[in-house]
Amino acid sequence: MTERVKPDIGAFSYREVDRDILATLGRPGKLYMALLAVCLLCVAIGAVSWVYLVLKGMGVTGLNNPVGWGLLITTFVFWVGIGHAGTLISAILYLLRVSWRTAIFRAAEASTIFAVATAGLFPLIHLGRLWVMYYIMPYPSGRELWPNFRSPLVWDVLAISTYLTVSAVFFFVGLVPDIAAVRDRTPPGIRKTLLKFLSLGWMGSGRQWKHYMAAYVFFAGLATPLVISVHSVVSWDFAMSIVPGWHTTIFAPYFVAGAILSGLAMVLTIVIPLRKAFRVEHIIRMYHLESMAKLLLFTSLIVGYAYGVEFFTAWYSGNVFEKAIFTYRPTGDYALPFWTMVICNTIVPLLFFIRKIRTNLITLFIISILVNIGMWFERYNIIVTSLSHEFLPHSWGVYRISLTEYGILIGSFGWFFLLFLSFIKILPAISVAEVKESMGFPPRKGGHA
Amino acid sequence: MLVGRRDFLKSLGILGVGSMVACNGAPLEKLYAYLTPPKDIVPGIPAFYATVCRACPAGCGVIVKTREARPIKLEGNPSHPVNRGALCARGQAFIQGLYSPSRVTEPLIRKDGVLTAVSWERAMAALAELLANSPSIGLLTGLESGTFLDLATEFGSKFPFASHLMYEPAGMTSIAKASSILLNRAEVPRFDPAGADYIVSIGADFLDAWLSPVEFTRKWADAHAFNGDRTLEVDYLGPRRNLTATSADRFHVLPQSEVGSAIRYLLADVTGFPAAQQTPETMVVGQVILERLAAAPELSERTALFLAGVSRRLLAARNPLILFGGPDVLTQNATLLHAATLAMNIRLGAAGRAIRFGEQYAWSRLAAESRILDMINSAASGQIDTLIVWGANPVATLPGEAAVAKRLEEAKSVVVLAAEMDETAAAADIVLPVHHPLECWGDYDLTDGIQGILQPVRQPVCRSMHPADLLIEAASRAGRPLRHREYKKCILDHWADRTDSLNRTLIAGGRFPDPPPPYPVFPLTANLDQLPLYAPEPATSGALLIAPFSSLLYDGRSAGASWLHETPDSLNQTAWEAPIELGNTLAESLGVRTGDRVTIGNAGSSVTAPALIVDDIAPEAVALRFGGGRLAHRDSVPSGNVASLFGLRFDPVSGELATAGHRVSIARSGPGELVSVMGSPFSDGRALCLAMPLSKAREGAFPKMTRHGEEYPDAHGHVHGPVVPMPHEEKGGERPADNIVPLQEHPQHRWGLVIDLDRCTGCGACVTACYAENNIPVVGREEIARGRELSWIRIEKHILKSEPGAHVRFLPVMCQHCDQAPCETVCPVFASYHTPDGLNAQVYNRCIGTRYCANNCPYKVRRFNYFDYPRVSPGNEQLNPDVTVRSRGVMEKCSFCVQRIREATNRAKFERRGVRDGEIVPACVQTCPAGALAFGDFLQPDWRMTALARDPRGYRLLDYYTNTRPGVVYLRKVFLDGEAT
Repeated sequence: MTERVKPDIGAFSYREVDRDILATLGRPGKLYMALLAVCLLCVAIGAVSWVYLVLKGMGVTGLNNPVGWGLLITTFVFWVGIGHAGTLISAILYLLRVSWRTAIFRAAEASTIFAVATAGLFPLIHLGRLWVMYYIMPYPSGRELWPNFRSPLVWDVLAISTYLTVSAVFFFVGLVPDIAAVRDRTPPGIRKTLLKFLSLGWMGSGRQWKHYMAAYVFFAGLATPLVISVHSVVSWDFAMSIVPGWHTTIFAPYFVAGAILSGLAMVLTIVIPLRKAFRVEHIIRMYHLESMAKLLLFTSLIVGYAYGVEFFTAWYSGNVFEKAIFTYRPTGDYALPFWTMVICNTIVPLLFFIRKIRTNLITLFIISILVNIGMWFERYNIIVTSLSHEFLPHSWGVYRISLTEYGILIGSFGWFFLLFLSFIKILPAISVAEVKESMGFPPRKGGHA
Repeated sequence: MLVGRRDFLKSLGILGVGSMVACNGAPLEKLYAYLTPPKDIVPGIPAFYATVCRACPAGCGVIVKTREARPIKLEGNPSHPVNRGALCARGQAFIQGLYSPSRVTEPLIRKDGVLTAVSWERAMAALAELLANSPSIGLLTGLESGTFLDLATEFGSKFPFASHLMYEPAGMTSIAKASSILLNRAEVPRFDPAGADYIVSIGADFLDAWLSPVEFTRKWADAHAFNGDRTLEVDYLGPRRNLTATSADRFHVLPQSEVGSAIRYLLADVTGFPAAQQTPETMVVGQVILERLAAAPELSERTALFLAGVSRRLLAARNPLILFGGPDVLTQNATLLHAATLAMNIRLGAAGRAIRFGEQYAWSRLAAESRILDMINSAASGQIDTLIVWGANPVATLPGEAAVAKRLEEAKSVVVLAAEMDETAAAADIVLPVHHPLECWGDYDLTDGIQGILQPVRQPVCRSMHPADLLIEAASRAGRPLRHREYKKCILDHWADRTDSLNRTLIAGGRFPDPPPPYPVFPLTANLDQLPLYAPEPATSGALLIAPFSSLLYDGRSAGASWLHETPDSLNQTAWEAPIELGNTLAESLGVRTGDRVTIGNAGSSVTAPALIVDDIAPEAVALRFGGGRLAHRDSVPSGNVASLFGLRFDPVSGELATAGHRVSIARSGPGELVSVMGSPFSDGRALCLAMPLSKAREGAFPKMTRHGEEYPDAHGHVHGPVVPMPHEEKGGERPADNIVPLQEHPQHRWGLVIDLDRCTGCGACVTACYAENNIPVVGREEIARGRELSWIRIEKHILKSEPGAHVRFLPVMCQHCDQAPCETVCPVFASYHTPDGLNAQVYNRCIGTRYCANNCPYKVRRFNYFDYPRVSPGNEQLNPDVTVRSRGVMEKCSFCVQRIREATNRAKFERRGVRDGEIVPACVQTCPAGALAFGDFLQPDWRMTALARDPRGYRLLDYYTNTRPGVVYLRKVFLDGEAT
């Protein structure tokens, strides 16, 4: 079965795999604790800002009359976007039998779950009256009041909660064999009991593997359309409105491509330091990173195309409202965010055409961060500039981000990385089972998971 | 654990009690203002009282709406001949003076230089002692009439009384003087633009702040608004664009230095022209005045060209009228120029018809500023021992150079009777709190034909006294009692003589008998030598200061009314701001940009305010509105008081203060911010604020709104694009070809509004009325600077330079109540929904505050409550109980005054009939002085509003693109074309 011995996984024993991957769960070092502290601090800043916002009112944001959505919704879309790469890598690439996903899909999936969990906070934070947020849920109320199913916000609630649920289940299913592996190496105690419970009695028997594989394919199949649907629905929050700059049919594919771009960038941003910190460079190898860089380049080209098409449609339509907003974006009050977006998302990734750059850890890392920044500004551009420059020139206005909003933004990053850091010390961030599986037959002295 | 039913209920009870104990209990206060309500008062049913608005001397009649004994809203008295139901912004905000946080709540006496609160007993004793021992007493009041004058005379007869003077800024005393010279009648005539077919105004901002703007606006609109044709043309010349200039057919920027020359030019033409009214006297008068005007400087070529047209039209018109006046143009030559204007009006036949003498116009009673100043100076020098001031604020409105505050300090004793704390009260020795006019009995005889009566509409808000009662009481304590013991009785006695039924008079708000026939106008030549020679402006350096009155701030007396600061100035689009306006050239030479802080000043004082660069202003001039920097709102409106920059320059004949012609130095003092509510005034190629030329309108060639914008039909009556249907062309529930979703069905009503842009002057009364009716909180300067104004209507300013006419236009925008409202589909919780009678309703309690509706509203009329905005007691007593007070986090917007709609439909249902035309009047429609708005039901073809909606000038805002099908129809403005100047 030579075809199963993939060039992407080095030839070493199962025991080595176990040792190296499970070593990541060892006692945390100083750096880890420091990072954790920073994250906690950020979360505290975010929490204080949110409490302040709830106590005082939406007025502590920079929002105003033309611009009703600002940093909060921008960051919401940003995190939903981040939450795309995980399921893309784990589900779609799984179904397509793309081999390089193996080493990184777990980290990517974790980032998906945590990103969506972070994103889910923002629609709550941005509500004027958080305390009646349940009105938006379709619950059988005594007054027979239902939410307005014509509103894209209701679709949003449904799409995101579905995506979060399915992604979480898929994530968990994939984890079961690894939880069992950790369980087997954990001394008795509470931790072991918990792991026993979570591993659902996994013994690694053939029957179990058979069912597991079937379930995994099933969930991969279920998650795949959701990757497309969730960001399409998020894009309809905008596309279904009549705001010039939002109201366009290209939004769904444009947003999905953008989401994948940002998700890949975030996975790179996470994985590059992770593999170094955990000394798993032989498992997550340059090959994997390079593959991701190539995919990133591809989605960046799609996104660049979408940018171009937007301008072309605005010009070709001859529509004054569309033209005005697309003149305003590159030249108006928000020219800086616009050009940041263009440069970071479409120009910088072009460097990945050069092999040396996409195989260099430093450049890879820097570019991944730049794309993250660019993708945040893309959402900022779409949301804020369009609202600033709508139909009636008398109502044009400019939005400025307030300190409180920055606090919440920082808090969201703190929250995301806090969840991620906790995860990598509790469960293996690289799939033990799949790494072994992709190694083909073990060398002679191999152990067993 | 098993919890039984009883245990569960018990714990529920404890929890419930616990939660209530933990909350702040509602303060135990009386819900109603009375314990035993009078029989004719039903809680929930408003009671209405007629009285007179005293926010300016125009004397408009008002109806006060009270609920449970609390006045909550002022509306114009429909039967009052001055305002016919309309009210300006200041009139709407007049009620805020009643509840003002700056009201004087207790008597104050100066001790060791500080005003200290004392009891009424002590204060009255002090006043009585002053009166008893003063060798000379002076009384200075605002414009009063009738009963109070008699009382003042009686008071004066009991005490060593120097004089009683009445003072109003811009008191028109030069007009009275000019009339006295030319006609031997020292009175301010009644101006009546109705019937005129050509008005040329030089400086007189008669649509905004001159003399009687509400009345003038109505009469202007009725004659000028396009209605198949138009019978009136208006030219305006003045140093600065104001609302009159904007609504005029032609506007010429006339520098203050050219005012005299312009009048000379017109007078020469008019005098030299043979006219029916020509008598030897008129010839002589004209010639003499022309001689006196000889020293006026040469006219610039542009002005001469414009005036040539004016004079041609003046002589061609059947009923021309020349208006001159206003603070923008009142120089030391005021009397001479007024005489010249009057001479022209006599020659042109306007005097006696549109300018009527002999009606005892109240303004005629006012004393000129120089006499007021003399009185204050004699108080300072000790000739007048005790000066009693009521209803006038000379410290703030007399020139800074006169240092009135300092004079009052020097005076022996100054007693100020003040409802609100103002600059003069702050300089007094004794301040006595008096009633707001809405708490007062009183009368106001505007003319012989318009006699208004004031009645109190509530118990006094604070422990104040009626000023007349205060004088009566003080006199009796001083041992010299007056004939009457109570002022109410004075009034009622006085009116009992005048009318058969006092009750009917009180309901009507006064009596309006036919005025005596106008005094025939015969110009006299006997007094002509009283006319001075034209005094040329001294050639000093600096910018010429323009100090206009505006309808919102007027002379500053309403500075305590926050609605007037919150209502944006339509021309400047600023709120909470009195900017320094200057032209492009001057700004460039100083390196000033809009928003920079600029200091204007002279040797004595200076004012620093944000700069605003405007298009239409005399080149070497700066303008600062009257009314800034007042005590009542000094913190919020930092700009200073323009009167502090005035020097002691008076017209030598009349003694009227010259408000124009002062020179100030100007310098940039640093960067700053101007609080503006406007994004951009330019339409950016969009068909928004539409207008059409008069020539086409007369021909009946009206443009159509097509899906591509505005198009004039070609020779065959065809347009290229698909025509956007108007509401009367649509049938409910039908699905037009370009519509996926069926239209809303309206089984009974489809409420709608028609706005005639040809009538709107941009005065802002509708905006203020909306604040009053709908409990809209005042958000304040900082919030407006952040772009969070909460007003439900805004008056958009549009500048269209490329079009042949009406370069500056106003577009009132409120919720358009669309049939296919973009806000309704996006609201996730149905807080925004469509009622069966066509309203776009907002359910505050359902709103969760996603703000999606506001984002998706193409008209940007939805307003979000970013905070809980405080309502300071006793201002909360003004809240309309029929309208929800919104909390933070919810969206709000214009509801078409749904409370009034429901009230009327319920009443109609109760009386088993349909709603009648005109029964529902939203607050904005009710108050509009120009009658620019009409409300009604699109399903009632014979209603007035529906007829207006069928006007071929009609269009719906943005509908050609958004297909929102609004319930608001705009009628295009019609501008004069063809003749350029």
